Amino acid sequence: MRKLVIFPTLLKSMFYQGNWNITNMQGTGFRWLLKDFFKNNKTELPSDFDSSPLYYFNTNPYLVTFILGLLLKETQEKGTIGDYDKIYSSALAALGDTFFWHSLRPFAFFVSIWAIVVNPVLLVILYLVVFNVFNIVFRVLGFYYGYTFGANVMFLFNKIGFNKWSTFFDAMTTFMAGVVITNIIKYQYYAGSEHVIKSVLLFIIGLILSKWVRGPLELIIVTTILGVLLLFGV
Amino acid sequence: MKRLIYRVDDRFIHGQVLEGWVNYLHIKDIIIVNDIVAHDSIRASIYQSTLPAGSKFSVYTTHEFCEKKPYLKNKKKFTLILLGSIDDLLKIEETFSSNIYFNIGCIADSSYDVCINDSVFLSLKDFNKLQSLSENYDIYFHKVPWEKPVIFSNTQRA
Repeated sequence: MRKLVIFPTLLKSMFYQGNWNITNMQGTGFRWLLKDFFKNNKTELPSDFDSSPLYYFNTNPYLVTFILGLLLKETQEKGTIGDYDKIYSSALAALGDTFFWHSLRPFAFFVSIWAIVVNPVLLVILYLVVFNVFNIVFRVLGFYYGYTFGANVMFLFNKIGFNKWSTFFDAMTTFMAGVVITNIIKYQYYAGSEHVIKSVLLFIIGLILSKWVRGPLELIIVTTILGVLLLFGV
Repeated sequence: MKRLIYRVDDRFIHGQVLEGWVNYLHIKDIIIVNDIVAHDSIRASIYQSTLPAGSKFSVYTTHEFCEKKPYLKNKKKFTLILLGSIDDLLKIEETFSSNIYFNIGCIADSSYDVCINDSVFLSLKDFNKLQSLSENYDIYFHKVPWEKPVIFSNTQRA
């Protein structure tokens, strides 16, 4: 891989959403990143780049460095970037939002929840570590792989089956949620096999109700119903 | 909600479309109707790569879409038709019917005169076009299905 200067832009990429607004979303921050990255790698901005302050841009923040890398490559090879900033901003927003927001957050929570046995503060620390391992690795590699693959960087995502990661992580999260709930019942409320059967039935009722609601409230409803009923000794 | 959704979004496929519509409504059939994307196979393949496994994805020009009417193949399940602009939407006017859910999701990548919500910014020209369209059909402005929409509707028709 070519030696790229990434560190200053990597640090700045942590803050580039600071100017997020409804008119041009992350546009101002992205222009700031792009200028910085190109300057550090001794490349002129592409001739067709929209330098207007209202430049519109929105993507998943953890994958933004792939776009920076590919735009640098396109500029050095062709002198222009075409529509790749627009195309990849929406495509990587789709992939990144599904993985990072939908799947990784609950996954990191259920991986970390065991730390609560030792210390509740450790849960928060472990959660941040698990989530940010993916954050940092993707940000750092994004510069290099974006630059290496250029406009074909999507082939990399296809190769690693990134659009299936969220399904895999969701399955692991669901499994871990089951283990956690079972352990809570076993160690906190267990009062014989009859109690376990009742808990399972209540859990199923909760699931049916939550499916009817169809939304992010699902888990809250399930655990609330179960918790309230257990509290009153059903 | 009606099974056939026409969504105008200048970003085509992105996070809100996948999380908000495709995954939430379990949509398997996604169609982009746009002349530029239909003639750019790399762009089309990039969009296709973002979709969940098992999704059926196709791209049509506005003309092909009106001619082939691909949405007729799947009447029982949700079909999401993605369009890049109000002009693209009006180009396929001949396919409009009362069975369509008209959604304006995001128009933000241009100068504007009217702000409908935090993701739809319209020129006066587009605003007037949508007002005319609302005389026959209800138009829902929202990013995701669970968000309360702004609705353009002809109250007399209602």
